[in-house]
Amino acid sequence: MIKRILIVDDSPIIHTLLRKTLEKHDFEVCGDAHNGREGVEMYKELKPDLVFMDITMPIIDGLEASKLIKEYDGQAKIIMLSAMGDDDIIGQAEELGIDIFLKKPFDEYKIISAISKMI
Amino acid sequence: MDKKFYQPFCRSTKDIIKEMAGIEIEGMESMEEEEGEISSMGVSSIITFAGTRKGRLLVDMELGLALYLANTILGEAYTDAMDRMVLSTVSEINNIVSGNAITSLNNSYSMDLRLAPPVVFTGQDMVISIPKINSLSSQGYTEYGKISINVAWEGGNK
Repeated sequence: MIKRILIVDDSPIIHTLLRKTLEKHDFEVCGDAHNGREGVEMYKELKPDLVFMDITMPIIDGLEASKLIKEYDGQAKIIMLSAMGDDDIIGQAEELGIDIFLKKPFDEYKIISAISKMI
Repeated sequence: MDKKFYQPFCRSTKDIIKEMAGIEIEGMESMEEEEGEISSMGVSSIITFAGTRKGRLLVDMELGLALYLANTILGEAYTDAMDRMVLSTVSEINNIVSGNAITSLNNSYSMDLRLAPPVVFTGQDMVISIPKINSLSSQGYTEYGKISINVAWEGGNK
């Protein structure tokens, strides 16, 4: 069964690059959210198998959005994909139950390896 | 503010552009005092960050370089630097450069800095006025055009 992935990032180029990589490897991008609030709403509506979540976004950031998604669905699988990556922010993500934290920029190998550990 | 709070942005700009687009930036080894106005070379992006201090990074580049970066990173053939995806590429490069530099500052000096979403704008010879704040600039050169960065911290350069 094709795995369905939701992308939450405020940058159009990240959506484009991720979609190219994911579709090349036969994943379905089931939704494109451009801020944390949209990400939470789309998660509830689409029930994806996995979420790629940015941190720095308008309205609500990726950490807050991940917290809300995890409260709604404790089994939610989220990969953080951020330009930020200091020890404190990684610690906050771990506390939320985020298993994988990737730093931008990314390449195909990084993305596919991370997915294979999650689903 | 000590130069050690500015230098990571030069290193990060060179590293990230090389990693994302495979091109070397010549120069951009040191930073010089900038006062008053900056005249944009074509496409500019500003990102602010705040924690124990507040600051911002301005990345400015020539139109040809912006187009080359967008076309290389996205595998497309844009010809208009005003295209939303070209502007978005410059904006995301600024985001990643800043994220990389402030990650290093946070880990080294516990500055607790967090980024705000970047802003991008275009217009050759547009004047960017930055009154009442001292900042440092650095110029770099690529075969596709010039790039400069300007870093400012609240409280100035001392």
